[in-house]
Amino acid sequence: MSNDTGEKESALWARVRAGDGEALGDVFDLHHHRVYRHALWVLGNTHDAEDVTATAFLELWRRRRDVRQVEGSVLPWLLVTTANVCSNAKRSKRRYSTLLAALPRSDAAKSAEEEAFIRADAFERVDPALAEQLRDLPRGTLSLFILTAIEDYSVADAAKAIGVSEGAAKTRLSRARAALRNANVSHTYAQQTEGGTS
Amino acid sequence: MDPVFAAGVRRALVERPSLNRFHLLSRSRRTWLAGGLTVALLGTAGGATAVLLTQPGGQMVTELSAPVTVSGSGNGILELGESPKGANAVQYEFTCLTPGSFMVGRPGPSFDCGKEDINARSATSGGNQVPLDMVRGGSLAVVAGEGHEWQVTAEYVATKIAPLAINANGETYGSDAFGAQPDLISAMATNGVEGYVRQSDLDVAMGPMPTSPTQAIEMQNARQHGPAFSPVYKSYGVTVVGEFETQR
Repeated sequence: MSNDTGEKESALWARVRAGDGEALGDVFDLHHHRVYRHALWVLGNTHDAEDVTATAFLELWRRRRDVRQVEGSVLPWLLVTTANVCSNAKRSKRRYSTLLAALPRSDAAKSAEEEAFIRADAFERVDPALAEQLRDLPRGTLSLFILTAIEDYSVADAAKAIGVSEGAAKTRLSRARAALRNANVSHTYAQQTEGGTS
Repeated sequence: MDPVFAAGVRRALVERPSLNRFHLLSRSRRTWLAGGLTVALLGTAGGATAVLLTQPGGQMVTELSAPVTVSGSGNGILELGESPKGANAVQYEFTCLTPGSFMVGRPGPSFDCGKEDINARSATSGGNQVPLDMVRGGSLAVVAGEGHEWQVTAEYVATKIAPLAINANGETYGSDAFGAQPDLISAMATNGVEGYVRQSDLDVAMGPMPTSPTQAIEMQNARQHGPAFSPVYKSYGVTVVGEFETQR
């Protein structure tokens, strides 16, 4: 993120913390595609991914006083939260189950565009075996994996987002790589993990 | 992501801060709360007895006529016929079919709908009521701009307020949405748990009421701004289940 963009988002976040609902809506506009893509990446189901996306943003509001910004952005926090919600989607969504059930959904078939997005940006990139293994990783480690291997954050920034030291983050990622190798997941994704954490 | 769902989430987020400022449950939820309800019996004009679920201090509603649905564009009239014996209000559901500003009754409650409401299918408002004096000759007016489309479903109802409940400590508790003044007011805590906030705690959080406009301005200038928190209890007013946020 450029400094300019970071400053703009920082100002937006200050408005959210002051109770500005429109600013919260703008943060949603800014990041919901990335958050949804991540949820879809891990869960492989559009309906669940939508619920998790909504939950992550509702949590962003509820826990606004504790949100850590990285370079002025709340996106790393959102991605970490998304990973946590995916790890235990049922429990995490319970708080908002009434609201989620009440939100309208399109009953039209998925557009060709959306189908293409799902295939290109989610399923074709993810080995189902890897997604399965990822779900079993400890929460913080899954977040570190997502931020570094998928979202291209540096280990230092990812560590900042989840509140651990860079050294601890490196250790956890190293264990995750070993676990994924042991689980015999596809070579491509093991490589992807290696590449993202160097 | 489903654009309709995304629009709904966005709308829920935009409304979130205001919900947090006014955690008291919405009128309809207070009326039809699903937990800790009392069962009330309300005799109707025809001799039938309606069994209604409401909470103490909540409103009991008995439908006295068949619902009538009318759609229109611009100004229109909803023909309800003569009011049945015992009716004291008309209850209605209003839906904006296009963006625009609408008013039900003249003058009555107004509804403003934007394009995003229509897209998110959130342009329906149910459980609204107008008093009988807004019904003239069995008709209820709908005021709308030219080309602004709407739909109303309405019926005559009899409404009655359920009595407040009293806990083991002698304190009254229930809803304050319909004019009752319970010691413990039904509220939703910031953690989403439903419970009761003590009126005396709210008074302390908000400070004393001013006795003159001059004093009001002085108090406003001297007041600490920002959120104030009061405990949210279970109905017997001892166990704390969360906290209630008010803005000073």
